Amino acid sequence: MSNRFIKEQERVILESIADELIPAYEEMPSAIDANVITFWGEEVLKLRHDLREPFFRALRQLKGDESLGPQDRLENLQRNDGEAFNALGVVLAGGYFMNPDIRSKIGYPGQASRIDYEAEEIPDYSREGLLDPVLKRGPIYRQV
Amino acid sequence: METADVLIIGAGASGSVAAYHLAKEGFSVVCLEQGTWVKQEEYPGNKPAWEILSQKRWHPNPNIRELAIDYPVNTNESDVNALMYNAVGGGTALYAAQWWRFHPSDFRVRSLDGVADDWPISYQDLEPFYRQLDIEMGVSGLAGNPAYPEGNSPPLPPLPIGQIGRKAAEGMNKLGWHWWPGYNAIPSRQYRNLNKCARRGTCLTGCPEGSKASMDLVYWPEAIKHGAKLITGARVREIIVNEQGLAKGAVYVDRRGREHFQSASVVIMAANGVGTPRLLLLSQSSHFPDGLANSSGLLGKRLMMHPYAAVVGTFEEHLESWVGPAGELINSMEFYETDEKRGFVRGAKWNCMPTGGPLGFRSAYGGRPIKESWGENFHLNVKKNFARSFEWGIIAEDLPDELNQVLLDNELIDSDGIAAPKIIYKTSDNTRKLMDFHIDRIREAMEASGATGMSETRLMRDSGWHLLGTARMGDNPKISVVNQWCQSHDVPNLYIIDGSVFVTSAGVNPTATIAAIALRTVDHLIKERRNQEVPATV
Repeated sequence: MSNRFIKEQERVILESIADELIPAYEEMPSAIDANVITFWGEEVLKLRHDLREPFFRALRQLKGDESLGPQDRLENLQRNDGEAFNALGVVLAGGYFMNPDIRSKIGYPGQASRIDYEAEEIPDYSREGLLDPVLKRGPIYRQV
Repeated sequence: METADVLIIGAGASGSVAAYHLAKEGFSVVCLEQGTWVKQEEYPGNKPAWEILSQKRWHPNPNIRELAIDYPVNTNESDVNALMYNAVGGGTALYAAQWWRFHPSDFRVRSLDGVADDWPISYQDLEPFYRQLDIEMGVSGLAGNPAYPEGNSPPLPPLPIGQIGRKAAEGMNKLGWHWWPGYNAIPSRQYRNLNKCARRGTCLTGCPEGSKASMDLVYWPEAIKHGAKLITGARVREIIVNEQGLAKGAVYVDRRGREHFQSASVVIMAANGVGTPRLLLLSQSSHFPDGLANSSGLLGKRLMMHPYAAVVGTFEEHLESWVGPAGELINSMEFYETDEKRGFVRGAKWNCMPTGGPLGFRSAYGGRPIKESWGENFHLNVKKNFARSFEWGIIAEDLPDELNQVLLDNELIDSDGIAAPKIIYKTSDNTRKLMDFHIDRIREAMEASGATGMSETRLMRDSGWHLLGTARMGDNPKISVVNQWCQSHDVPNLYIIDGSVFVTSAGVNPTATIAAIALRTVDHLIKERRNQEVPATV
């Protein structure tokens, strides 16, 4: 547990605002339920050392505004420290979209390999004459 | 260290072509490259974290990437950031591999449109080399494009245009506008040592499939087999001349900070349109107090960068918008050639591109009000936009202007203490009018395709991939840096073969033309080897 980026106290802060940013909605789970705070956010911070300082700065500022509601705390953060707000957003959203369950729900297989095509076959746009209007016009380059 | 016949500075697009062809003809070749080899498995495109890694480690802007081998570029006075990548293969490691010939009119801008200058060479001069490179690179595309004279016939069939290419094409047909399947240096089937394109759409962060024709795959293994010596981690800091004013080699720093001198009979600069003038400006001497090969005063000047604008259209239908290549799916030359009735001269090529994963839509996290981007709208935006979009982008031809330039920065240095470049680049009135016109036309095209929403970027700051014009070619030594053979007017054994030599930028991706010019130059060097002036002793 000690080699996690996000410590227990920081997790509490994140949980207090996470639903404002990525709530549950229809079939989509919240960031909390999608394990962004406990796992996927950690993965992002592992890969992006440049986000760590502004991300934790965001958490400190959010803690400092504890007396306010989550919406106000986030608006203050966005207004006062855009870089920190951005980092928070990238960690949460980036982690959310790395979760394979989320990807499955939004229909994103990742940048998957697709080699099931035969380039030598006449493409459907040629067979269906989609290029015919272009060819019919003739040359459009400027003669020199 | 032994004296090489030819020393090449930079193992990118042009340097790679030169190294291979010269080594094959028996020249002893040494190439100094400040970057290293990139292993295919390093590329992030087949990893779940692709989008996260694209934003930093694999970003094209060295100022964002900040790798140890990057050098900083001061862009405080530039509308566009310079993009580049230091590695074996150079920028081709991360390029989109859109492979485009210039058009005949692109070489005659002065004669045809009364602005800028004519090139000292023509389309016909380069055509044999374009053809040769199509085969060497394994270009995929369709012959018969009415936007070109006959003869532009890529050796491999075009890559699939996908659902988004088809959607874009349908819109163009409704308007009666030109479109054509993409030209990509990405093979549509297994080709020599390149694998068939897997359409991952991650070309701009490197190809994890070993498909995209980057120069480390296409040329370097063969160049090394023919005896070329590639020294990586070698950051050149100066080109040295002898008492007769001939180039005799280069001083470079290795990754342990030690200095070396590599001597050569001929020196070829291939360090891109920022790196080459930077290095030549650093190479001052009593013979060349204003920088090596700069008697014209034009070294570093006339920087052109192809400012890029884009419109993303969203649609009701699911279009699998992440499927590649990226690369281009289709393109349009409808508004390429000059029509003065539009209120500006020159034009732009359009490329239809995929729009990547779900995180990419959220590039404006910080800017928009929280309620607009987050909460329920976080999910609604994904439902509405993700996988239901494509981009039309434009490669705008910008005109040469001596005020747009590469200088040596007064303060910024790289990790070896060498003065970094500063670029000054402002878009002109002609460029702004051109871009506004094209964006308006793209919006019409998107509507014709059935777009239900659009977002536009009128000038993408991180779009300076094409670094051109800073050591221009010409017949007159007073107003050019190199002749039509890319040979310096001032230093007969110094050549520049990268995009620095461009006279005008055209409105298409330049890598095919950079490579063709490099190939033509080395072809000439090989044929004229007995007449090449070299230092008596080095």
